Amino acid sequence: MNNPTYLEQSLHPVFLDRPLESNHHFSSKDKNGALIITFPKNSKEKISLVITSDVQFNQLELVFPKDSYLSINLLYHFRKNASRDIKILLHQGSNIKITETYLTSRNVKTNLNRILEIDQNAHLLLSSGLFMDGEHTFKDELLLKGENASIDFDTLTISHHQDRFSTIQDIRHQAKNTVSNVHNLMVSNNHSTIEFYVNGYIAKGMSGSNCKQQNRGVILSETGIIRVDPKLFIDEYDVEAGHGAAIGQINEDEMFYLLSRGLSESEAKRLILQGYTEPFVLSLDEGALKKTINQRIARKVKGE
Amino acid sequence: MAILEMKNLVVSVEGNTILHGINLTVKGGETHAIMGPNGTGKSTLAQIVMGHPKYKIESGEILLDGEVMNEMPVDERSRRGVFLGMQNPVEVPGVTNFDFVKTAVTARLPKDKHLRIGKFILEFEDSAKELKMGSGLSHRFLNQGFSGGEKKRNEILQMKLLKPSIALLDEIDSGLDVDALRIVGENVTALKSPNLGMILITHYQRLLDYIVPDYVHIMIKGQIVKTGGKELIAKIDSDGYDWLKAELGIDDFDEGPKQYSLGTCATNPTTR
Repeated sequence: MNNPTYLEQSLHPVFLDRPLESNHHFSSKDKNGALIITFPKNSKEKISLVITSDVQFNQLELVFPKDSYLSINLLYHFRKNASRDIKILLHQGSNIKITETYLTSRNVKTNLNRILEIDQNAHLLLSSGLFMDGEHTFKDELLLKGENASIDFDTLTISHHQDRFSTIQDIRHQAKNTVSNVHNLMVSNNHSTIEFYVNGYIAKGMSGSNCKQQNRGVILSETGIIRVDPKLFIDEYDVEAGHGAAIGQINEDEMFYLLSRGLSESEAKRLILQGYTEPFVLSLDEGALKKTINQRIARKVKGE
Repeated sequence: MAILEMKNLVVSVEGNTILHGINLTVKGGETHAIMGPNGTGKSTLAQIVMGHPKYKIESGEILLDGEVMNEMPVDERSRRGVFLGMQNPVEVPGVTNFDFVKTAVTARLPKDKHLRIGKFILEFEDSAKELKMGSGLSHRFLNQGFSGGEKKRNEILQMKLLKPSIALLDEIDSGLDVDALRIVGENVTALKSPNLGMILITHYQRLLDYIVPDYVHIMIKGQIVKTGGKELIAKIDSDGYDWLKAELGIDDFDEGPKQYSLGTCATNPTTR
């Protein structure tokens, strides 16, 4: 089945619904219906993987070896209902940046369970952009397993019409001096609903750990819904932890300021929302995908 | 030459009347200073001229070049030449200073004209330099992480680039150190022309040392109670407002206790 052009044109992507070629930068193997991909330690080229609803496996495992240093694009594209388990393993000392984009070509239902395991002295910078249509459930398990493991996890979710997004993020500090920074941005339009349940766990003995959660949401319509439930479960004294959630409609004073400079209401809204969307958009490489994402954002924000 | 007029303007916020019949005319080329004690309605006057939705005009009129603008949308007021330099400019993360000003300048161009971007960049950089604003200003997010002084200078930068015909500067001197005050004062003075009418709202003489007003108005309890020349500034600076209150028989304690609401969280009812 043909994929949209913007996927084909995105930095020579590797489609996981097609046979892998020998010149790919990584090794792969099938194991009991799971596809395991082991990346090289580093690569001059950025690696882009496309995961569609046509892939034959139910479980995908991405493995980053010891001391690897890589930047990866993951593109999820669903044209039918799908359920996937994805595991991302960062071995000791690896430093990985993953930008992942979720798109659909129609209203579908998806269910994604993800486990992210981060070993000693490894760091993961994960930026996720959720621009799908339909009903979507994410269950993320972030496991900081080795000492000094750290993760910066940023999400941007934009919903419109009758979209429903439900995300559970469990962040488990299972070693000393581990750091997690979770930053969720949400924009809800029309009758759509976005829910985030963010749970930070620091187990006893995991001193020196730092667990931070920030959640910001803006509701563009009278009937849009954003629910955020940030929780911390701390069983150790020598830690830093903080969480917060700020949800509201567009700030009246911000609007007034922009209008007072002659911007129309729609232009002012667009600029204010750019504050939410720009960090993710800037993380994308220039090209067809970025153009598509900007169009999707504009469509959802306008409620079209 | 633009003319801004306020005629018997009565304004309230959340049911409390703040302005009790303001009459004021500002013409192009004139600089008016409005002084007065705290909480007397000076900022309300600036905000209502710009059209802040929080304030309600109970009676009276605001006119721009003879046209009533009581119901005119905020953005249209701006595009018609009204500018408000704010006391507390808001921070807008994710929007660069340059993009913001460029969008604002573009918004006031006729539909058949395009912004000449090269020329605009030079103008932006020159204006920032004149205000002694650091390099990298254009790429910083709008007012985010700016010091109090930087925010005020950024307001003047916008004023320089938007070229209004009526400008209201609300306590543009607060948060400025001596050098920054001089720079802002000099830049605003340089903008004086027959095409610009200005209202300066301030508590202190020091701003008016740099931007010399043609008229000084004293506002107390939502009314302009005295109008004079710059001699009034020195009198206020040395003696405060008590002499004026005594002269006019204004009692500080003639109003009963007011009830205030701390407001509510800005959440959609359906999210609670």
